[in-house]
Amino acid sequence: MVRNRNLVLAHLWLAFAVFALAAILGVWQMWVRSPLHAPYADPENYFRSVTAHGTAMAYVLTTLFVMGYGYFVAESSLERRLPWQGAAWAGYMLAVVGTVMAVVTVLSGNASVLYTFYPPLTGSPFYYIGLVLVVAGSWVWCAVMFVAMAQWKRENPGVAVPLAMFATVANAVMWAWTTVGVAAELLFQVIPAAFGWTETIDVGMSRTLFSWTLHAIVYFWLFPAYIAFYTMAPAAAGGRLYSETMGRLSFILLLLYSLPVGLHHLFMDPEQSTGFKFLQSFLTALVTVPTLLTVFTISASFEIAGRLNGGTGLFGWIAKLPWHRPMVLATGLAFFMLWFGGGGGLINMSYGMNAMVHNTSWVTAHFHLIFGGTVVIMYFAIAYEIWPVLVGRSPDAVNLAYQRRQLWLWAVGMMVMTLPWHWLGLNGQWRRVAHFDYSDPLIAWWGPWVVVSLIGGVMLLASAFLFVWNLLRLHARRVPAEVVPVGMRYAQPLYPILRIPAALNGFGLWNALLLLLMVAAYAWPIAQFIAYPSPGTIVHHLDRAG
Amino acid sequence: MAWTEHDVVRSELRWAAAVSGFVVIIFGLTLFAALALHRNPPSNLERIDPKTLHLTGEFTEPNLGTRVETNGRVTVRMVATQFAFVPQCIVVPEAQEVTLRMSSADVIHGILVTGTNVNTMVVPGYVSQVHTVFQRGGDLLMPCHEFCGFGHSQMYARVRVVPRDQFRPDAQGRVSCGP
Amino acid sequence: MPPAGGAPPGLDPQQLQSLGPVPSGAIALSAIAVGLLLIAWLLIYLLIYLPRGMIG
Repeated sequence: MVRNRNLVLAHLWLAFAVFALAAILGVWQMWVRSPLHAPYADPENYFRSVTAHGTAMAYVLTTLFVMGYGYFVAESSLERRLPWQGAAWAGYMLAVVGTVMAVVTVLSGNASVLYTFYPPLTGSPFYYIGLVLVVAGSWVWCAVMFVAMAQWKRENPGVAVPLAMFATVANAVMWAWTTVGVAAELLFQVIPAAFGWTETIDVGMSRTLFSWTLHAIVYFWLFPAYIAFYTMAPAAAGGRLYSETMGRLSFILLLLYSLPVGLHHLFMDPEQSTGFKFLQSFLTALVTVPTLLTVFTISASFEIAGRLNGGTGLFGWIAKLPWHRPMVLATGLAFFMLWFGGGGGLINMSYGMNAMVHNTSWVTAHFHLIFGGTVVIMYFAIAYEIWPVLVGRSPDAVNLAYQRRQLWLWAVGMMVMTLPWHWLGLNGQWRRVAHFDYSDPLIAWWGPWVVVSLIGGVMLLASAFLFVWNLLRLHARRVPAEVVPVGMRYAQPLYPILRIPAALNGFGLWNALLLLLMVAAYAWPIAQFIAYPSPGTIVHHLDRAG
Repeated sequence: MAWTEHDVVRSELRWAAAVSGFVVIIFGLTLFAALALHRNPPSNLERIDPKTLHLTGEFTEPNLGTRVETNGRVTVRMVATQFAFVPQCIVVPEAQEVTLRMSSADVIHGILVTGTNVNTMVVPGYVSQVHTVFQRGGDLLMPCHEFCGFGHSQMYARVRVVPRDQFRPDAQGRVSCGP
Repeated sequence: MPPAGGAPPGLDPQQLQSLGPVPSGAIALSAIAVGLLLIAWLLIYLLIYLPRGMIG
């Protein structure tokens, strides 16, 4: 029984509204970069749009979705009213105020610093303060998640915390750890510089602090997708979760090894030395393991479903899966895109190989495919799955057909958009460019491929609008379906866990290990800037004329 | 079928072993390329003051561009600024080790050289150093690949890779693009 | 964990019979996917990365 439906809906609607608007900007940006003539195409507009698109997609869509879904999981999996409801609403208000502040500042042209905001390029302080408020709202969410789990454990001593909630709290732990980096960078370096209280800034320190956040933040975005893989997809497919224990272990491994690896975003940077880059490269190799484990565990879970439905032979079970169900379809499409997106990530992490692709379109292609593809398609599927519980109305056959169509359009559009981008990146096309000189013989041949990518982008935009339309229709349905679900049907494991070790039911041990890992990985890379202060770099204010 | 829970755990562990093997292969080949084949992220940690880059020391204008040092090493020095590289065109020899040294006078820039593994961030306060060998002759592009402001899209240099016999330093050891 | 004993709960004998081959299908699918990934990585390593020359 989900009682705080309005709280969840408020978060998700803000996330999806911002998403749809940002998608429009994305298509316009691709148009500007292409050989085709786009309106309003000057660099000021372009970089303003890139900043808005990145901020919306990477900070607002994601954080608000994770928060809303987290509140939903806390009530539906624990079957218990959310504690600290007032605080949760306050956190939402912080996020709303922060979003408005940041977006208005960007759209007015005062913070065209891109969502990575690398100093010494600095915009209006209100952009950064807006982001800090969004993060502060998410920290309230973290606290509510911790309290919800702690209260449930007190009422259910010795019982395994439902996997969906365990994973959600793991995500909250990870988020609390990872936001330290960007918060430190913004509060101690960038905001003072943006206000003009400091005139120089240590750029090496700021890039390193930001890198602290950079990897685990993408896993923060990814966790809901994996939670759906483990706790929703096997049920939708009509099977069982092959191993709940491995599920817990995978989430723990993701928590441990997504944090001390941020330096892999700085492989090409001159302010960090070989030793620490190499150490973090090794740790990054370890974080591939839980994803590869997930591939097997979810395949086995689906195999159970397919065989229970009459599938035989080594692969016959695949055809016998209920692909007409959006959650099942989305999982299949997500795994298909994961091969490409994850594969690209393997190239990025392979130490010296990073030189082949750093800051080329390959990187842009990679994160659009793995995040925009594999992860966001699961956001859609989760929304379709939980909306009936939130609005008290189930979709009919026509609605479901449109949901499937929207998912297919998204996956195909994402492949069409990102595959040429990967290819061009490998051939040297660099990033964050408002205008390519297609008359240059060295790059003229890129033109047609950029247009192909643009077509993919248009498909994605259509899919984004169809998604919002599908959700609106569920709100508007006058006639409730015969069976309106009041709670979530979470996946049943093949073997229920009868006695749960404390290590798989809480985070004390893992937090201690994380402390060791983060000290080993980041203590000196940050301390070096204090021990050997570099000559400061003059702050460049983008928001001041003259 | 995994008839018992024990079988489930065993199948997962077997898969985990296979996955670990996969990771070891990839990491091992990466390590091999780093140690034996000289393919490493450029990680020379050297600090410099961006505010006086043009005025004193290594990156003053007469020092910029390609120079054959007295010990025979070919070193290219460049400065990255908003929105140009200085110099905007460099000449390098084919099949000979070249050392690129760059720094930024203002904001974060970065470079790659098309068709090669040459790639580095150029961060104010630090000297980026890249050792490489240009395998093939021709004209290559060296764009700035990190957002550095509104003129970023127009910021690129050219790299002319010439055969050894056409790589002729002048009396001071310098080689430049010329007309 | 308690000693592993019988079959998974909630499934009738006919269902358990049909689940006999599990997880061989998953192994096959995952192994092919990861195997292809390894091949793709190796091809990029050998045909693009190594030929592009030294960096360091």
